[in-house]
Amino acid sequence: MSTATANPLLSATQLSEKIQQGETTATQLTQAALAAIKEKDGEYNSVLATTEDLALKTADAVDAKAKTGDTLPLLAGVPIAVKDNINVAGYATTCASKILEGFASPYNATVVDKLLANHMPIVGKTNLDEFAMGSSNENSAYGPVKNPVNPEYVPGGSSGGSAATVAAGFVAASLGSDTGGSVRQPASLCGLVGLKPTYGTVSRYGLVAFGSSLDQVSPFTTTVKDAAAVYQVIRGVDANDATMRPDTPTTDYLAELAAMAGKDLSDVTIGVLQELDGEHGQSKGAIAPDVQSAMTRAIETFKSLGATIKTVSIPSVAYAVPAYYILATAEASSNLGRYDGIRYGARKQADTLHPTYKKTRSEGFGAEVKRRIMLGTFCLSAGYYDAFYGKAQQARRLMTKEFVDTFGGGVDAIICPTSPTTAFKLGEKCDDPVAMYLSDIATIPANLAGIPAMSIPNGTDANGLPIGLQLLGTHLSESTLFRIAQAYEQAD
Amino acid sequence: MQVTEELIDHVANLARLELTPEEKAAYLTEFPNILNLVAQLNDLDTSELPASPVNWTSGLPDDATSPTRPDNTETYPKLAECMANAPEAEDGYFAVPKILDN
Repeated sequence: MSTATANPLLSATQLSEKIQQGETTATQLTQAALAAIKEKDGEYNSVLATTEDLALKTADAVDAKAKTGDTLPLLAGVPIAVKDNINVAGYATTCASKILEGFASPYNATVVDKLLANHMPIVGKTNLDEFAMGSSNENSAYGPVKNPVNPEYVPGGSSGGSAATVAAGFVAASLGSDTGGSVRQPASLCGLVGLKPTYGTVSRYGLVAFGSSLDQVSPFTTTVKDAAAVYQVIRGVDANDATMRPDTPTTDYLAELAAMAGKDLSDVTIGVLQELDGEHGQSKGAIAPDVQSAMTRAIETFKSLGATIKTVSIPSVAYAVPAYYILATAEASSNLGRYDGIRYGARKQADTLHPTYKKTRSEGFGAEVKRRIMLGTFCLSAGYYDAFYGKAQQARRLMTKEFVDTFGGGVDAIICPTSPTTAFKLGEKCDDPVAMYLSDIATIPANLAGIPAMSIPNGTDANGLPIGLQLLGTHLSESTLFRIAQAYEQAD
Repeated sequence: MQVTEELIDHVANLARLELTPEEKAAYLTEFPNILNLVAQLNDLDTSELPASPVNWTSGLPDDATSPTRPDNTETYPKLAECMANAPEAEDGYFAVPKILDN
């Protein structure tokens, strides 16, 4: 299945080879990325600020190293953009919120240190829904992002800027964060590959916290191989994140993918998730017809690749959206307590301390962030905690068990649409938070269960808008997901 | 459940938010819809389940423990950069408005 985007760039792994072979330089690629952002991003608003000095310094070091003939680290010299909720030392982190006006990060996020250790030039900080809360990137204090496939449509959210900057062809890869689908849904809407890794395999240190038990830094790329490459660069244990898995694999995914290229899937069993099947059961009618027929075609393609297809059921998926909107908002209401105008950000001074907190927060946060802080505070408040928060934690535990049992019963991966619809027009869902929340139904379960999931391009609808196919696997099964996704990418 | 103006005021105070009359009016209509959505959870039978999500979330066995590192004291090397972000600072400390009314 070819991608629907018009990204004219070679893939990140191809660019990396060209640098190593002396056919291009990191500086040329970095200057081209910075120039493209300057000239063309006015139309999409995908980048909030470039990080030009850092990018050129990194590129220069790569080129000096390349001249000596030394083997360069994976993806060295390949420009990348990062979502503006990921800290880069010395540069502003805005989270697309007015409340962080004037803040510059004293330190690098661990993922940024890892990109720099591999000499990847970071060219800019990308736009997002304020504090990563949203599914359309219309909640940014710095204006909405537009979908490069068709600028009348949203790119998805919350990592809409990171998606758009790759879809527009400015860079071959970017980092976003995925708390309830914030990378996979925009990947789907922009025709890209988006990988949400197993919770605990990528450090959250320096990623501004939204829902700490759900957040995971996640890459956007144009190919499955690139997703594996970027994941390989950013994964790995970190003493600064206590939720990291000590058993994070050190697998060379690129070597595995190379060995698997051209092989069929005759030893693979793929489960079709009944709860998100638009032709049967409770989702009947909820999946757009073009998305459903793309799904049907995908199943036929997997059969022709030799995979065994069976229907699987995760009944608790029906409760994913309510459980998520309790747990994520509860965690957010606590995490966002730190924005009080005392230690950083824009303070709105009143006579005494409490009114200063209130004035700072009320003027600094946007409407969706306030709505979620209110909901989360309510869910954690005396008298409602057990009925809401406690119940949602139980639903989460049940869902995780259902996934683990299903995978343990001989299913290698589960497939479903990434998003029930293709991109919608700007402004279309702004007035109905419930409709916006329900658009996350297919992506939320992987965050609640902590399992890896990726969205890959799956053709386009009648309007030429990209459709995404989601693959979900058991904890630490990235190898299997990459293999199945690559086989699908290379089919047809 | 009934969403009253008193409830909205109470939650806003806990969240240290000051709502405009427009925001309050919007919450009074939106909150019942959102709470109806989350109330679907009541249909789920969870009587057999503990509330803790931790171990199942990670997929690790139930007796797994969180990894910890030694709790060593060290001086944070970027204190000056941190203080440079303060809206108001005095002698290396964050300055705040007075805490008590007179």
